[in-house]
Amino acid sequence: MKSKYQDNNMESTVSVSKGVFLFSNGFKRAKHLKKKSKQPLFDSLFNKEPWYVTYKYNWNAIEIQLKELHEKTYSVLLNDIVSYVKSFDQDHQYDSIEGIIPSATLLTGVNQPDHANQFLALIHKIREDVTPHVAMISSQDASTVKHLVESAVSQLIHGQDYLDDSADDSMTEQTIRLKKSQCTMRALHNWYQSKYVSTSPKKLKHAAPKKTLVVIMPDFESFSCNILQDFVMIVSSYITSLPIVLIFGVATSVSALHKSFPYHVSSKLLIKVFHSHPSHVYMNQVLENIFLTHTSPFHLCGRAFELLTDVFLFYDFSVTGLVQSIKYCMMEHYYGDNIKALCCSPDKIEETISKLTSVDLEHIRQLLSFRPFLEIQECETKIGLFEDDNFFREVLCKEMHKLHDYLYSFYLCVRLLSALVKDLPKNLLGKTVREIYAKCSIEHVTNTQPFKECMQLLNFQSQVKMADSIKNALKEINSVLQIVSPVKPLRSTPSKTNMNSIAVNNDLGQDFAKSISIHFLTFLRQIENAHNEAPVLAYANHERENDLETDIIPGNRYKLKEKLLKATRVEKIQSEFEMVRSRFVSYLEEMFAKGLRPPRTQTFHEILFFSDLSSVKKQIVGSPRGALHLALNNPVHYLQCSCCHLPSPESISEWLPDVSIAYKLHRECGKHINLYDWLQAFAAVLRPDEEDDERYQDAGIQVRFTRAVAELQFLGFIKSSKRKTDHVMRLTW
Amino acid sequence: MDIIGAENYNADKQMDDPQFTPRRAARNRTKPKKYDEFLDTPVAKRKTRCYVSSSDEDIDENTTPKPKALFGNDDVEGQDIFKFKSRHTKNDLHNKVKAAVTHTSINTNSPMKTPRKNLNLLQKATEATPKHVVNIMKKKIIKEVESDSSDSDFSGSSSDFVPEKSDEENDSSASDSGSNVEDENCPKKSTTSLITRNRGSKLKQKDAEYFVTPDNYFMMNSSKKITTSDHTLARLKNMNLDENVREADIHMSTEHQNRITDLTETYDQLFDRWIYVLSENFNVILYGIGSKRQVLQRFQSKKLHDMPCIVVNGFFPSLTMKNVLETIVVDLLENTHVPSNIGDAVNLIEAQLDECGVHLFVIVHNIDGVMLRSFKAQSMLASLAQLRNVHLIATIDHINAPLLWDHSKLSKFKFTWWDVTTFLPYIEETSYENSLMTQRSGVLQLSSLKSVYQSLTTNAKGIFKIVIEYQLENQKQSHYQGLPFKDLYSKAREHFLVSSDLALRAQLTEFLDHKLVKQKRTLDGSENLVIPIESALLQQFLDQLTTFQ
Repeated sequence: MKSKYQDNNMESTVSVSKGVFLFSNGFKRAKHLKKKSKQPLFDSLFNKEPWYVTYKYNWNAIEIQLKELHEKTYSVLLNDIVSYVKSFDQDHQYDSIEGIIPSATLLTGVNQPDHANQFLALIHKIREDVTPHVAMISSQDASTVKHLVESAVSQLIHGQDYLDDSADDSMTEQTIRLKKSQCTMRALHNWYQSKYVSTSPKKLKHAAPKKTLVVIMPDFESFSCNILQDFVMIVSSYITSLPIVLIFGVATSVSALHKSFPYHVSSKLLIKVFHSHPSHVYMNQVLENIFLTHTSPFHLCGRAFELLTDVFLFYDFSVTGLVQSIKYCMMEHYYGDNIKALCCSPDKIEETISKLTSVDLEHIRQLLSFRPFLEIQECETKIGLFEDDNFFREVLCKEMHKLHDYLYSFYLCVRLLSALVKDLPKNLLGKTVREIYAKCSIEHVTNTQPFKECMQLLNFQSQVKMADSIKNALKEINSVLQIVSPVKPLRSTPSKTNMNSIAVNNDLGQDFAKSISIHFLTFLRQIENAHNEAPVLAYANHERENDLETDIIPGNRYKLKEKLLKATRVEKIQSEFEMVRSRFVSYLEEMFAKGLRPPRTQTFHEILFFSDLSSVKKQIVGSPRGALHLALNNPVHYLQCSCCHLPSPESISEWLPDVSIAYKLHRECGKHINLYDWLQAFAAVLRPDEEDDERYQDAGIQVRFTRAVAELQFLGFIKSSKRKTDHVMRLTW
Repeated sequence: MDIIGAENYNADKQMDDPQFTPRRAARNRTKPKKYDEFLDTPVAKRKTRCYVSSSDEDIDENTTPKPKALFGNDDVEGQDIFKFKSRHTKNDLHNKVKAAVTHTSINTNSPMKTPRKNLNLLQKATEATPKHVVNIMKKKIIKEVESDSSDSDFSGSSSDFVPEKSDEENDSSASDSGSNVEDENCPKKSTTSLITRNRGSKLKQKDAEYFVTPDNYFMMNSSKKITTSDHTLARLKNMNLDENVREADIHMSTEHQNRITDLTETYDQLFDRWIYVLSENFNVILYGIGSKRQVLQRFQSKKLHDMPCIVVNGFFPSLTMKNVLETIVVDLLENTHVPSNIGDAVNLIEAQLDECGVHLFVIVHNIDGVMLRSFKAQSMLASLAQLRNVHLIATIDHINAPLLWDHSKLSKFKFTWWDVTTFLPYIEETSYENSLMTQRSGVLQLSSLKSVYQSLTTNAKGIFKIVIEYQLENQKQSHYQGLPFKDLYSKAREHFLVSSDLALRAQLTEFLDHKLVKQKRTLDGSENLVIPIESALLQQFLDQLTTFQ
């Protein structure tokens, strides 16, 4: 029955007259319109799974955070633009200049996918502060001037409802909607006259000040030049009666604007340029504020994190893309695994643990990081952990809190390290928090050479700089301490007696942060106080140098050398500052060694940290060409058959699939391939024992070859060539 | 080049950590041997990626950042796919075949066949041969080769090696590192010799690095002349395969058939995952060799049986984006017409789908199909795929398919990439296409020629035959202009086929309509008639005619 259905399906999507097939599967529009409240399709699929609920909750939280951050980042820029636009709204100083269109150019950078949000925010802002009449035209709506004008005018007249449907009250009283084809500049002019100008004599107070009309083109480079030129010229002829402001989003540089507008057009424009943030700054902000904090419910392990930042830095520069990749990792992390429901904010851990079934608990017991934890326990506890689910739940709860404490101090230390190391020469550990995070989460950073060198360099830092960097570090600590974690009071009392037997090193978390803060404060004070003593010593040194100089008889180089040598041998007396400094550095080393242990050393880190890089890499960075090559070059990799094992990847055997043989043979050819020769080679591989003549007459081989060639052509390795009869061109090197 | 390379040469195989790949774990892939080699060769390349130790600090300052996690050890080495090959010679193909034959059939055990590796060793050993000696020897050999290249059949054998001037010059000039001569015996022929071009050890070393040998590219493209043999398919005796034979089952061993079924069944386990991914507003794209129609059809019938679904055959030669939009807007959403502006159409679809609260699944077989390759079609698909209620599942096969999308389109598509290699033959996908081979063998042309011919009147047949015969006789002229109309008229009159100029023209219009004959005007104003079909085919047609009658 099933197979029959499949067959039907198969046949029904092949036709010589049609390329598109509809399977409405019982969908009727009229029917669905009535019962609108039907539950969204997908929610019903996963809604009952705990992991899905947690995932959804956490992702929504992250999205909200992203939105807030987004508004914060762009607010300065947007305010600038809006006030610029406003300036034309209020004083009409430019009215006097004939036919000049005020325009703003926003240099957005090449990460175009991110810009949509930026422009939506801009529109929102302009709507709120300046004028309700905003139109945004993307290049795909502007294939001709007519289309461009139509869509601009209809958006200007009909206002919001194009971009958001919320404001429908005011729209209902709007007169008849104009048809698209009726939207011309003339219509716009009439509409504007009737709305703002003609009413003004009657009721002056009501007639609001003339509202500006704003037209935004977010992707300037994708418009065709001629269309834009025409549009600008048209607008400039109406500018006396219609106060239009243009906003261009330019991805490359201002010169793009100058290149596409000749003088007679650009002279009609009053251009002011605004710069937006480079995308990597924005990326760092997103990562530092949202994902690399202890409040984030989900964490990426170092390798996965590096992959995502690499994709950003080397492929697309798009923060949206980065966020989507992180989302994908998160989806993968949670997918189908109920114990990942534990990957939530600390205050929900108890609740979640109580809901876990014994199967889930068993899964947790099988986690790799549970083993080292188990080994250090006493025998009794071990048995308890395995047999008593309730006891295990308690331990689990405790360990999860410990893990969160660890995260708290880990991220704190990462930030501290970055604050201290940021200004050091040579960038051994990197400048940004994300780089340092990646290093710290991969290995014990305190054991690495770069870290040691950094500490050495810190040991050479001057007093002023040192004090500065400590101050910066203190700022980091305070900002972290301000986010009060609600965990503390909840887990202060162990309920069972044998709980005490579990080895707990409870020295991370907030206490740790506080102690660091105190230490740093004292060090800062000491260093600043040491300031007074230092000059004395320096002065002493200086005097001695002066002695040296006075002694020097000009020309007597040998003596000078002697003296200098002697001077180096004199033991330097450490100044107080130097002593404090070296104490500080050794404190840092100790503190970081404690706080920067990589996540994989922690019990149950698998629950919070996503580390399965290999499973997502393929999905995030596709490798279609690599897969093709691999499959053709070495079919065993996919087929797992016994017949195709090759002595070396280059060799050919008659057992390989036909396409593979043809592919390998074609790689031996130059730019042009003689079909006949190719066929002969193919035949010779397939039938090595037969006589030549026999082999050539075999129609079966010809058929197989024909098919293989057709497939290679379909895959784009070859194409037909007219240069010589029966030759094909090779399209790869 | 960089971007394509980077994007594509990440064929990561997950065999390093089997516990992470539940679906593949059962299959337990063996590690292909070539990776060992890969690990050996590009050491230099790898080194740059590691952290430069403190000893060379000066260099350290200037190093540009390198991607750290993007490229793993288990990637397909880009070099293997993209490197500039040194110039190909005719013998490459032959050598390859020989190597293959020696591997498979031991019974021939001819000592003179040297496997590839030995060959290389030999080359190295003989490298010290002074250049002038080499040149002399080479000239001798070329002479020999020329002398007996007359009547051999097997193209790959050295016998059809026709040495070219450009080659010779290249070799004798100092730029080349010298070529190497090797005596080899062919198994079935008398002793002939092979010239194998030696790449030279220096060049070889350079080859190991990815970017150093652009010279080879220019070498390869420097000579305009096509350096292949002059054989054509006309040499095949059974040029026109029977229709039945052509349609015969695709050859595949039973072992492979079983393996392929196993392989495709493993993909069924991905269906749930795809639904999950789709539900989070990502889209799915499948790649890998082999037709993926079956997999998608199973997916559709198993998972999408109660949702509205649209299947687009991207390989369909007369597909337009308008068809796709029409199906959605008119057939599914029951509107009367599609808005002319693409943006409006997309907005309409978005609004109406949202209103109904329904999710639409769009399955595109070959999103890289010929008709979908335009910028417009792709941006249209991208803006459709971006909608919250539209979910796209697409497949790609062409090696350059990823070039279709710039990054703003990619960000709209939000693809997740899945390797679905099936090795199934592309039956439907290639069925519309004129295959290179079948086109050459001209089965279609011949049969259509026949059927048209048979419907002609006897007089018309006669006229057509005159044109054919004339063309076959005179085609060898370098500038064959066709049969002048005047000549045709006089010949036709001789045979009592037509009585007047007008009657002949009436007959000719019939041919012109069926494109059997083309009319050309020469410079002096006379009309010439040409049959746009290859002479071999014409000859065959003529032979068949005479046998029938």
